[in-house]
Amino acid sequence: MAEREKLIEIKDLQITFGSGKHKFVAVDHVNFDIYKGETFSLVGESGSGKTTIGRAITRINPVSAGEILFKGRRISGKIPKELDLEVIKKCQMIFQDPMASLNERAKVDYIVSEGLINHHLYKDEDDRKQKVEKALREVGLLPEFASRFPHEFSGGQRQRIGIARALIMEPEFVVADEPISALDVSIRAQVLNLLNRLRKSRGLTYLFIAHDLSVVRFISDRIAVIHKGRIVELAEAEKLFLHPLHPYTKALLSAVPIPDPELEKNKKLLVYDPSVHDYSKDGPVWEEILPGHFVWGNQKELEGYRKEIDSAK
Amino acid sequence: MAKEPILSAKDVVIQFSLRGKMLTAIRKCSLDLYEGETLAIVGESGSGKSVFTKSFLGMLDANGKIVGGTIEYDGHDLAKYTTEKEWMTIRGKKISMVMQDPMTSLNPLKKVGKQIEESISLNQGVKKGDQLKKMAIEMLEKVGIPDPERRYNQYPHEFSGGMRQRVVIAIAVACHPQILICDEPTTALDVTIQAQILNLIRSLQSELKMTVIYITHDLGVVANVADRVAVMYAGQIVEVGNVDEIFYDAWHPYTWALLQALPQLGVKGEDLPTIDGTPPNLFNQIKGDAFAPRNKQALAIDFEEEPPFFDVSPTHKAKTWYLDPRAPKIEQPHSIRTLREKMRGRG
Repeated sequence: MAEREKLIEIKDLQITFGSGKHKFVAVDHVNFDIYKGETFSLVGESGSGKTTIGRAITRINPVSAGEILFKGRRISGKIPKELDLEVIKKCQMIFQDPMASLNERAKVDYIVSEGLINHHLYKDEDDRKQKVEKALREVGLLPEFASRFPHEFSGGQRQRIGIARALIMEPEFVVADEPISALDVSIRAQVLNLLNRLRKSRGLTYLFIAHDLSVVRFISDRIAVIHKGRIVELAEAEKLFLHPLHPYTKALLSAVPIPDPELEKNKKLLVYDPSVHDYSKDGPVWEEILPGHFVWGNQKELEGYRKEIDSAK
Repeated sequence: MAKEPILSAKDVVIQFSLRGKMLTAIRKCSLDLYEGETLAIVGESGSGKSVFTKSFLGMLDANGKIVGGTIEYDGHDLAKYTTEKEWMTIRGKKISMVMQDPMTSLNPLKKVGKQIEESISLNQGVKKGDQLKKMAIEMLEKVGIPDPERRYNQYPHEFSGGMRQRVVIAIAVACHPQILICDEPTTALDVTIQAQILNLIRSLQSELKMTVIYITHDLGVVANVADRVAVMYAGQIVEVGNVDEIFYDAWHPYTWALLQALPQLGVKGEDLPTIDGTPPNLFNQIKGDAFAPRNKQALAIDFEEEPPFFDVSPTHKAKTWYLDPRAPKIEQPHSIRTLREKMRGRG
C-alpha cells in the first residue's frame, strides 16, 4: 500500500465562501490522498461540501487554507501559467445532469473539442476531427453523431458525450460529480461499466462524488464520508460498509434502501445525533485507527472505536 | 384474493397527439387496487408509470386523453370524465398526488399555511378563516413539522428539501383522500431524509386508512414500502405480484433485467449486466412482446404475437411466453434465483 503513487494529496484543506459577517466555512480540516489508478469516492448529503472539494481540485473554487498537490506539485492558490494549463488538461470533470451541462446550441463536434480549441491543442483541422472521432468511439458513440445537436440524444448518450469531452483532453485524473444520478437504472449500469473500462484502458484515476451508496460500494476502492464539510471517516469500500465506526457513517449506511423486501422491512434505522460528541475539553483529531482506516474523533471516542474493533474480531 | 378492488382499471389506452402524430403512451393497461395496500409501480422513464396514474385523477396534459378502457372507482367510470367539474369531485378529495420535486410543486410566493388552507377550503368547503388556520396548523403538526405556528407563516424557500416535501404531503392528505399517489416522492432527497419521508407516509397511511401507490425506479424503496409491485414497460404492466414474488421469483425477462442491473448484485471489477438497446418508439405500432428486441433469449413467437398474462400463483402473473406450457423450458437466471442469498451475504 505504502508504495503506491499519490496522484492527489489534500492537506488541511479549508474552503470558505463570502467574507466578514457572511463568511461561511464550507469545507474544513480535510485531509486525504488519492492514489494513481484508484476510484476514490466522496459521499455525504447535499450541502456537505463534496462537490466543493471536487471543484477545488479542478481550480474552480479557490482554497482559503491548506493545499492541494497534484503529482507532488502544489496546484492550489497562485501557480505558474504552465502548471495551470497542465491542470486543465490533466484534471477533467464529468457533470451530473447531461441535460444541463451540454451547450444546447452547439453541435457535438464543437462540444467535444471545446477544450482543444480553447487551448490550441491540435495541429490542424484534420487532427481535431480525428481526435473527436476517437473520443466518440471510445465512449461507444458513432463518429457521425458529431454533426448533431445535444437534444437529439437520450440521457445516457448525452452523458457519454460529456465523458468524451473530458477524455479528449487526455486527462489522468477525472472528477465525476454524480455522473449517473440523473440516469435510468438500466442506463446507469452502462455508464458505470464505461467508466470502469476507461479506468483500465486509460489508466485513469477517479474522484467519484455521489450520494447513492450502493453504486459507490460497487465502483470504489476507497470511500470518504463527509458531513458538514468535515470528513468523518475514510476506509476501503468493503471495510467501511462492514465495519463503520463513526456514528454518522452508521446512520448513513442504515438509511440506504436494500432491494430485498425481507431485509429492508426488518432493518433498523439509526439516526445521527451530533450532540453525542463532546469536544469542549477533549478536541477531535483525524486518526488512522487501523491501517488505511481513518476516523475523526477525540481520544475518548477513539478508545471506544478501538474496543469496537477488538470485539468485532 | 377475494377482496373487492377499490379502483379497477381495465384495458386503458392513453394517446397523446404530438406534432400531428399519435403517440400511444399506455397500451391496454389493467390494474386492480385493493383497499389499504401499498402498490409500487416500477419501470424506466417513458414506460408510462406517471401517465397511467395521472389518468386516475384527470391530470393528463392537454394533448393527451384516455381513448379506451375503463377506470372503475366508487361506482363511476373515470375514463368517461371530461370536465374539470367532474374531476374536482375526485381530485384532492378522493385521490391525491405527491409529486417528485418539492421545489417546483409549491407556490414560491405563497405562505405554506395558506397553501394548505387552499386545499382544505377547496375540497372540504371550510371557509372560516380561524377554523382554516387551525386545521392547517394541525396538518403541519401531523406531518412532523416542528413549531407549526411559526412555520405556518413562512414561505417555501425557508424550508429544507425534506421539510418542503412534508408540506407537499400535508397538502395532499389534508382532505383525507382514500388513495394517495406518490410519484417519486424521495428521488430529490438525501438517503437519511428519504427514510424519514417513507416512514411518515407509512404512518399517515395507517392513521388515515389510505391506499398508497408509489411510482419509483428505486428497487430499494420498493422493497421498503410495497405490499405489491407492478412492473411497467412500454406502456403496459408486464408483471404484477406480491413484493416477495417479484423480488425472489420474477418471471418476466424485463423484471430480470431490472434486478440484474442492481449494483448490489454486481461483482467488483466486473461489468454489470446491462439492458442493451432502447425502449420501442411508441409512435409506431408494436408487434409481439415489446421487450423482445432487447431480450437476448427472446423466443420466435415474441416477435410475432403479444403474450397474454400467465398466472405464476393466485397473486402473481407475468405477461411473457416463457410461462406458456408449450414454450421451451426456460430457467430463471442464476442471479435471480440466488438474489436472497446474495443480499444476505453482503452483511
